[in-house]
Amino acid sequence: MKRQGKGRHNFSGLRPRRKLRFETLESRELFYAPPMPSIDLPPPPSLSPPVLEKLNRPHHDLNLLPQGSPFNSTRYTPNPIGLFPNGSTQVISPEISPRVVELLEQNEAGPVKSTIHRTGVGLGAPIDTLAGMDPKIRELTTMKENWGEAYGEVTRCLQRIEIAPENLGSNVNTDTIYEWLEDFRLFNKNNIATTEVYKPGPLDFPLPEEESYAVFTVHTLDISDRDDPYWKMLNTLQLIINDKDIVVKLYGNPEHHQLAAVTLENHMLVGVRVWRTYETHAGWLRIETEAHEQRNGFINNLAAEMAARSVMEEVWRRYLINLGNAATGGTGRYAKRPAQWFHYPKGQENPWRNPKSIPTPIPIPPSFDFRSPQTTP
Amino acid sequence: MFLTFASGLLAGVLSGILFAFAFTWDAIGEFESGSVLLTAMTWIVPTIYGSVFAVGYAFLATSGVTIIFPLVSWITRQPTVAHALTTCFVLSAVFYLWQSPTTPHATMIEFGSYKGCCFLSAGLVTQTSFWNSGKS
Repeated sequence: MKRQGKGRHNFSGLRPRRKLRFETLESRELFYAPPMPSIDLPPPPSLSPPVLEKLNRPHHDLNLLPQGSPFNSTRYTPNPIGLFPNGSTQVISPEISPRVVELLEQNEAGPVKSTIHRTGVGLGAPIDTLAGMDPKIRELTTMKENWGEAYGEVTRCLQRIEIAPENLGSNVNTDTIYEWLEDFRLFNKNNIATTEVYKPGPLDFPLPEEESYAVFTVHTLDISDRDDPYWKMLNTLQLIINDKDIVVKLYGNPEHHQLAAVTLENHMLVGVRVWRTYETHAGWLRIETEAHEQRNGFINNLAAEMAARSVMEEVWRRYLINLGNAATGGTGRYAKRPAQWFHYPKGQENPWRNPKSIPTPIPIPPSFDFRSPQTTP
Repeated sequence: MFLTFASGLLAGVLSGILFAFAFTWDAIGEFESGSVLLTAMTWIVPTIYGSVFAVGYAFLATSGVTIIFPLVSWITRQPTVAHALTTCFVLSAVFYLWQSPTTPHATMIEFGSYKGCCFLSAGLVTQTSFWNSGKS
């Protein structure tokens, strides 16, 4: 009897419940179903004009606190493993350069594609399946854009720097700067936040073309260094309502050197920011960031008006400084333009709701013949 | 002395909080529903932002009055003159803060009026404490 009881206990122990949190039907549809174009349905004919007016009014049944799921992924991301033509099994870094992969394939020295897999449950899963995908990217793909939580009027913010052609570093042009923008490699230095870009490697399960994710983490007072106490305090104060990690989805446009980011889930803002670089008619190289955003909930709107808006401006000011310094080879000879803020009338929708149709810059020819002054920070 | 200093500091912080409440009240005005007033978060956020950034101005004002008033009293030997001069110092500093350039997109804590409000109340309360202690 005792043995039977023990056997039953062992049997139940062999079948633990698996948590298949992200392998939902929704996640599968995301990858295996064709992309769904957004459809603006006309209002049903039964609705009378006063009802329609009420529906179209901006939020009055307000959300006080920010809505949306947080991104707190602590999942371990194993590197893919593959069998190579020489018979060896090797770990492949997901950050391997696409050019290296191309050369390996040309020389028939690359891994056998059907054998590349990620370890995980059991023996693992091929990386071209959902189960074999980078778990963090898989989690990010389930996060939704937070347009429904928008509160307050749309605010447009424009910040830019301009570099004279003679001050540009050697081999620096719009293509080079766009590469820097794409992976935020110059964002973290001396900034009051850090970012990490999540993009599948060349051998990984691909996301739709030119799409990736970025997770921004604000610096708070618990970080031991003594730099920027004022900004860190502002960042710490906003933790009473927001998360430390906030996520955006990136849409690249290499042809026009423009990168757009849409806010996801519980981001404190709701909207789109773009970073772009282009040449003006005078031959100057311009690097700019422009946002059209609202706030996620009433409290965030209030906090933005009270103090938090300046933090956002400071983050992008520092990023532009880093880009300017790198583009001028460290000389810092570039012109900084003051931030410009514009407020749209209440009730107006965000004009950049579709991040794939954001207008690209059209440099306006200067109406005067003077060159802009240079400033050295 | 400690009580004088603490009362000035507290007055500055309280005025910062009241300023933030007024700012919030103005923001709430656009809602049809009054339920927002009953939510704790609606008052916690302005209390925090209003108080934290008021501490600096309140400390400046309290320290300024605590240094200037005894110094002028010692030089002039006339408390009334010392009070008059200290008031001039407080009002000049408030005017400077009030007039400090504020960008059109400034946040509440960057408003000249917010800075001036915190400084004024802290400065005047500290001075009043000195006045009362001088009388007694």
